[in-house]
Amino acid sequence: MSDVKLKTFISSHSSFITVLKVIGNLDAGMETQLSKGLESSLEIGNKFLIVDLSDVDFISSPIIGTLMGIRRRLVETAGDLYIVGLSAENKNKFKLMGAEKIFFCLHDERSAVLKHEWEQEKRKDSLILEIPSRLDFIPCVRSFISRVGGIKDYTKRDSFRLETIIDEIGNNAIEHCDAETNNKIDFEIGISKEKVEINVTDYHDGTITKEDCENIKKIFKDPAKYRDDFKRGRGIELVKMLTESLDVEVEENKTTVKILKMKEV
Amino acid sequence: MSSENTIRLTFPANMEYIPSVRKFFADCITATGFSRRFTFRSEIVIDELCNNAIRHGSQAVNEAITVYIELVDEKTITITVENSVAEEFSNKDLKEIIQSSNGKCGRGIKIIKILCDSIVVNSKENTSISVTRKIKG
Repeated sequence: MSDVKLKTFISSHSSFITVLKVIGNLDAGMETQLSKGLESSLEIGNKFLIVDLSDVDFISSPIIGTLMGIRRRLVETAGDLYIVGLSAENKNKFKLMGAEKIFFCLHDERSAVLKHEWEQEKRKDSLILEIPSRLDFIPCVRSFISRVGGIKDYTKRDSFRLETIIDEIGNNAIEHCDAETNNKIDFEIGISKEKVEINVTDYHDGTITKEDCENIKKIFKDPAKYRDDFKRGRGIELVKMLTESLDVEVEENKTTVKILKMKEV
Repeated sequence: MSSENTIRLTFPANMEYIPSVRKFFADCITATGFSRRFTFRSEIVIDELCNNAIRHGSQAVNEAITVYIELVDEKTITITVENSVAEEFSNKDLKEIIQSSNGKCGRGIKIIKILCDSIVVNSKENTSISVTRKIKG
């Protein structure tokens, strides 16, 4: 049987998370040693445990069973166990045993802490995107937002709706910006477990009048009223239907559309 | 960097974002008219640079990575990846790692060197690595 070292410490990223680092191979018959290590990790009192297997080349099937048992106990007390640093071979073993559906298998300790914060609904990820004001970049942005929705466990329907929102507001921003003087569009996206906030900003040359500002605000307040007979103006109406809130802020040199969309339950 | 030809994205330093980020930039490069092969190779470079930035940059939980792509002309793009510097790497260290052709040099860096025409490293408050890719011929 190979020699295995177990090191327990509090995560440098969060005092609520304990890390158990395993060094060596986890052969069959080592379940008791691992169980003792896991038990002593839990004695620290944290409900969240990261098991770092980045220095483990081999994991036997009974060891995965032991990890499952500990995870079950933690979940019962509203905690969890995250696995990090699996080699390609060990990842495959987890997959074959269906264990990758039970555990969150993540890249490293930081990824596990980020996942923990996300799951505990404490975290909002921020993405800032700046593109030239050209229509051919909008499909790229909307596909990107949709993919981000996908990795953050938003449904396909929600992700598609996010795409629709970006398409409509992004196209409007390009259509109405002053491409001569300010050739860019900004997207600020804040995504959390329950909602997505999107701000889309286009820039103009500072000649916008007070009257223009009021007109833009009126259109956003009641888009149906301002839709013309030439099928224009439907985009804002559509976005309004797909979102919880839609606001516009018009300043001298920029217009920002602010969108709030809750996650579909 | 002029905004009219630059695409900029800042995202959390979390590995899960990398596939979406590299695909986004690949879509943008394709939309500009570059070939699929050029785009795919650029995607490889972005992937390697982002992986390195997350792996070797600051390990703070709220760390962010910024990727810029400048569409210089019909044949040239510049890719820049910027992150907060990790304590254990200095500007000199980074330049040595990139210039070194011995075992210290990671596979990712070797791939970047093969696929790019120039690599520039800057490290003050942040570390930034800029690479230029040109269509041959």
